[in-house]
Amino acid sequence: MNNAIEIQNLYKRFKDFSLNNISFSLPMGYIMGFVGQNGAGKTTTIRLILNMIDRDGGEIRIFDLDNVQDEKKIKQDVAVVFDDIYFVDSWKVREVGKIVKGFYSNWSNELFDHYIGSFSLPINKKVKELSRGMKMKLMLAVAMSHEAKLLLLDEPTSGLDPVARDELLEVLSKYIADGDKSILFSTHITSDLEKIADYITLIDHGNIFYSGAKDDLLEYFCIVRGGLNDLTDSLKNKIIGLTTNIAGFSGLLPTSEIGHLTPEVVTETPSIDEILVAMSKRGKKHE
Amino acid sequence: MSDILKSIKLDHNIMKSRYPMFMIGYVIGILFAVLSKTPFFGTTIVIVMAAPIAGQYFSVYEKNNLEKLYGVLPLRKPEVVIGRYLYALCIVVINGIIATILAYIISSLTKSGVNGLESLNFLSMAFFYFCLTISVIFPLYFKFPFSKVYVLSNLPFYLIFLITLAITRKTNALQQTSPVFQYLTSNLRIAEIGLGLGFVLLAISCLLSCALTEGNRPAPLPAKEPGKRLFFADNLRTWMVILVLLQHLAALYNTLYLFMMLNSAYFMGLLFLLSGYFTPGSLERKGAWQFLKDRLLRLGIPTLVYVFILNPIAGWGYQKMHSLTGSVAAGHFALGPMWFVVMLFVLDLAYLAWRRITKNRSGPPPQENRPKLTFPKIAIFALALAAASYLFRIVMPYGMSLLEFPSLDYLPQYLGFFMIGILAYKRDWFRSIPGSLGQLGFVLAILASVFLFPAAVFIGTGSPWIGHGTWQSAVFALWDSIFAVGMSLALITFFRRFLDAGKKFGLFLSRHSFTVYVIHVPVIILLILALSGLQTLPQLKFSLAAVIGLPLCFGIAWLIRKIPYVKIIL
Repeated sequence: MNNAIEIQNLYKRFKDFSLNNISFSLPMGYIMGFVGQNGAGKTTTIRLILNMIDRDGGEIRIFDLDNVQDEKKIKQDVAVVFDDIYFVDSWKVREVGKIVKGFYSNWSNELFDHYIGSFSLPINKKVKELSRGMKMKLMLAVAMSHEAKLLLLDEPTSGLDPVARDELLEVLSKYIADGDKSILFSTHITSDLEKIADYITLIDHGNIFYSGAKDDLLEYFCIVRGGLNDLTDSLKNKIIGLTTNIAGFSGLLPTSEIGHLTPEVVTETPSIDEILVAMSKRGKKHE
Repeated sequence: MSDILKSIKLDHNIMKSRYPMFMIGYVIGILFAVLSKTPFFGTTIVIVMAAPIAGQYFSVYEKNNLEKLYGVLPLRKPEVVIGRYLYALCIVVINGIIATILAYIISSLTKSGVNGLESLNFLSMAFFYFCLTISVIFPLYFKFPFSKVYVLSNLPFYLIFLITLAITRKTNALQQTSPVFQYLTSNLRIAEIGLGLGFVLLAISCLLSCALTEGNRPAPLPAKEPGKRLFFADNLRTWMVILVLLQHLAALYNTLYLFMMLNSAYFMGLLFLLSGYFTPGSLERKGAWQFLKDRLLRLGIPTLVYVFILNPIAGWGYQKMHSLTGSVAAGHFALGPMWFVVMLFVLDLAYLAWRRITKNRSGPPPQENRPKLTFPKIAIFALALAAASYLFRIVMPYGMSLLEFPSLDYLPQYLGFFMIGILAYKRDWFRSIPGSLGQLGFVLAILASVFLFPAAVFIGTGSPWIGHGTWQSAVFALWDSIFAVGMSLALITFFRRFLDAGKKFGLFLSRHSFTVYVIHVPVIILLILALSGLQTLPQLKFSLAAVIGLPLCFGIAWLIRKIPYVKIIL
């Protein structure tokens, strides 16, 4: 078993959006950032992985098992943190553990108490009385108390302050330290990923733009800047997300094309954010 | 099972915050019980009001994003659905018990007597009403957002309740005028009907909800191995042949009419569908001439053997039986069951001719482009089939035979199903139809049989439903189309799910099923003759003959196929 997630030609059509035969895989023991702007298809992919909606085609394998046929077996080892809490708001924090524990064979009360303690969650408060950060921590505590081997995070940091986000990243790094746990971290806040992700999958308008190691991604592309005179037609076609103004142009270029550039053009290593922006511009141009 | 229990427990935890709402029912119930001096009237109100409160579950679900919770927890959708219905059942039972105890307390406080039978009637009717409400609102809530359908789904039930209330106020008048009502209330009939129907409604509704939540997911198992033989189709054909045998046994014993009627509404059609399914593949493998030769050999020779050897034996036995029982049925076993084989031969020829004309030799389209079988398409087909059957029966009414073809009134169905079978092969529907469509088909078949079938058959004098353009005939055609389509979907998906293993026994049966089809008539007639000394109910005789006849037929078929060269044909 090498891959925690393996997605092949996953296809799902909605009235106004479709996920077009996407494929990517996440090796065991790593963190993958799943990046795209809002509405790119991140949540749809996660919902498909969880079999909350039916796919129209393709294959999803989790721990080398089919996600529909072996749904129950898989979900014993999968935990999810959504952007919003999914427990009944009248449950108390302590109750949440009691209610959920019956479903998991690996559940550990000690672990749950430990996480509740270390996250300083108030055990007698109701779910609805918790702050956004605490809600996220409660979901995280439940997720980690049954020793989930795969953690799916769907925009967990949206709406969190920088301190809470940093805490989350720290918890996650500790969690995967033993090497057999994997995390799929969907977000549009890319600074989170620059710190902890090993792999990056970029998704845009239902298409995978890039999927692979984070370092390769940053080496694979470069930002190019130059004067308008340097912008030849062939370069225009190669640049992704080209922006032009009076002063000059800038855009993203696959590093393999760098040799054809005139010396006046400047190249820089891009940030994930810059790649994301360029990618989304490309999407608009195509429409 | 334990996961269903977990699901019920989770439902309880989710609903906990809404339990105080049940108090409203108790307050109103107690008020009514005291005012009307009928304590069990209050119990009825508590139970009736429990139904919409049980539906409140879905309000909590929507408000708290529980869709995500259920997406995360290791529970399968059917377990959640079944758990929800059982949870509703728990609610009605617990509330019923508490309200019954309250009723006895009220009766002892107000010194109003409690009539045991009357209370039981009240309870069972309330239970029935609860089940009716749940079985309508739950599927709606499973399919649509609670806030959108809440008012609409509950409105009819408030109306029904108010109307019933108005009627029960006039119970005394009814009791004196209607002997039927008196009979019903003075017996345990109402209680039996209320409880029985309630459970049946819940079960059907639960099946429907399972189908709705499962969505349009194609079946996972056979779809993954496109080259694999569809054992379940073979097994289904075997089962159809067994049904043919039972049908003829029932016809000869002149018993089990409902069984025969339900059977004949779909079973030959489904056999045509299966035959249609296997036809294009056979033609592609063998080529036109080999296909034609093969059909002549496999369909023609058995027909000749039947007409010239087996039929005289059957005729002799039938005459002998006839003189024993003194019944005056005409001997319609000349071509006998081989009408199917002859008609199939004609259809195969027509298919071959069509293929030669269109030269349509392209294989099945790639998987993504294949048109999927969806519910609207199926519904349109069923309606078109009903219309065609209705029109056809204006000239060819039900039960009329022509040129040795005993059930020509079903010709539109046979043709339609044969063509659907061919399409099913080309578009790989047997592998790809979602299991939920089978469940939906079964629910529709049952609903049609409960509402349409009696309406067609029991209204009017004589038998207007058999055809000649009456409205009953239209309803009957609608029923048998829905029933045939629904049962076919249900059986195909059921067999695919549970009977798709190529086990030795199943293979043995399916290898011999055609032989059994050819030989079964004389065998069962001789069997009936042998059992004619038995003096008992025809139903019992039927069962006995079935138990002996089925293995006997397969045994004889096995012996026949041992004869050299016979295997080429049979």
